[in-house]
Amino acid sequence: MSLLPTLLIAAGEGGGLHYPSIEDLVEWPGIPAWEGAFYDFNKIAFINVLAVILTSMLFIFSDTKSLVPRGFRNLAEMAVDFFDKGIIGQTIGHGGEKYLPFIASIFFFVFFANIFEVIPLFHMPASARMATPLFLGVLTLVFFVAVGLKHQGPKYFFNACFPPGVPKPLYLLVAPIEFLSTFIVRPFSLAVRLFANLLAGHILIVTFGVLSITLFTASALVLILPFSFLMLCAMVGFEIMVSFLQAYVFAILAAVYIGGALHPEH
Amino acid sequence: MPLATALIIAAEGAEEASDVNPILPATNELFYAAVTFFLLWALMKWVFLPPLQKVMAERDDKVRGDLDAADHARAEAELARARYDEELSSARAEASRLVEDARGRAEAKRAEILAAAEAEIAELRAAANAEIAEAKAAAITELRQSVASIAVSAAEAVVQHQLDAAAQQRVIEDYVNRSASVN
Amino acid sequence: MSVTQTLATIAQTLPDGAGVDDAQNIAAAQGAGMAYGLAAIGPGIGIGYLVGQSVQAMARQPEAAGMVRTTMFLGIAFTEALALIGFVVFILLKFA
Repeated sequence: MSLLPTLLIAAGEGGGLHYPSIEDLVEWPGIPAWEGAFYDFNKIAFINVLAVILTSMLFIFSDTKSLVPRGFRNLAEMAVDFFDKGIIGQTIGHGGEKYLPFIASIFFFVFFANIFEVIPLFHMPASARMATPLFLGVLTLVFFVAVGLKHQGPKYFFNACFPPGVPKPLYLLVAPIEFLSTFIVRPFSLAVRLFANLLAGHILIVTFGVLSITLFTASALVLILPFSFLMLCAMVGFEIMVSFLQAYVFAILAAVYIGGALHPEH
Repeated sequence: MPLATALIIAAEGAEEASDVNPILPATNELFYAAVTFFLLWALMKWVFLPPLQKVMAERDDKVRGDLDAADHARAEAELARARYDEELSSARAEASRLVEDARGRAEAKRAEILAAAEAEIAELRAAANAEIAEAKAAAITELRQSVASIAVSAAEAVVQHQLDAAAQQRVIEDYVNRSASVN
Repeated sequence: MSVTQTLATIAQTLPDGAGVDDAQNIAAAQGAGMAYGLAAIGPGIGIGYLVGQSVQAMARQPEAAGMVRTTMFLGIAFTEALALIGFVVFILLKFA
């Protein structure tokens, strides 16, 4: 019992393994002149801007003159097909085509915000800060509520809270739960899922990176270095997959919520 | 209960902690996320997706049209082939009918020719037989006449030379030689 | 066991010069580790079961694989959220 605290304190005082604090991992300074202002531009904002620029480049470089896709347009068409058939077709179904811009924007924005986790010189997912996921989650809430109000009118809130096929007395219990789960839990679970996944991935990569560096400087422990480094490489591959998967999950959940607001019977 | 203890301590610590909670969103990051996302959404909606979707729809239409045309052409080809097959089979039937016809006719002709030849042969044979019989009869008659005359002549000769056997013998031989040379 | 007792117990095992802050940090680290560890059990079982059943469904009906995969990812997303909330609690306990 006395060994663990001693070790922890020793590590904290700059012993062998110096692990950076969470603030050092995820918080980035902005432009000093704008310190504290709401338009303070830091790395996270830069990654968001880059996400827009990279997505734009994909579409700008895809030439839409000829009928035959070439170069970047293959990728753009594949993406659009994927959103259309893989996400909207599987969840919203009929009448979901007009939400393609929203779903596509969500997917690309989240994907690029995620993928900077493994891109050299950045190594920071914008989604590991709560701002991007929370904004997107709340925006999705606003979007699907707007869709529900447009297609079902004010009855949407009633339909959302009182699902059909439940015995009448149970509504006392079901209605608050449904209300909570639809309008509170949904945006926050979207946000927290994305945020926590990417933050966990970021921390994992940092952990193995720090471990590799520490083992490199230590004398006899250098024998373990290859394992730590291999683990780091594997984590990078895994995080690329997670980046894609989280963008996909975010987009498909947004589509499911929109579909639920569009068709009251679901 | 270390978990509960830790939770309470953490809650107490959070109140005291002066630095920012890593979970809470930063205002400036929220601002930029909103600005960039709305920019991307607007671009997607009005700039990037419409031409791409238009050209994809155009291509789909073209592919569908081409497929329809191909189907149509194939149906036509099928029809033409059926017609051709039909013509071919009718022509083949006609040809076989003609061949059958010709064969029948040739068969009839052959039978006819054969019958005629057989009749002729029979006729010829009958004629030959008659001729032979006639010649035979004539020869027998002639022979009978000559034998009689020979016998009469021989008897004459014998009667003329009765006294001399040797002379008779000579006469007979002479006669015989004569008739032999005559014959 | 009350909070003061726990803190006192931890403080007794600490080397000289360690303050109340260190004791609090240690308790928070213990709680954080336990929070995440407990939160990971359920979702771990759940995701394993979910993916296993999905693979079985896909193997039985390969023509329905697309639909099963979409539903599987949705299920994973919902199940995983529990583990991730555990992770957020971990972060809150450890660093907040």
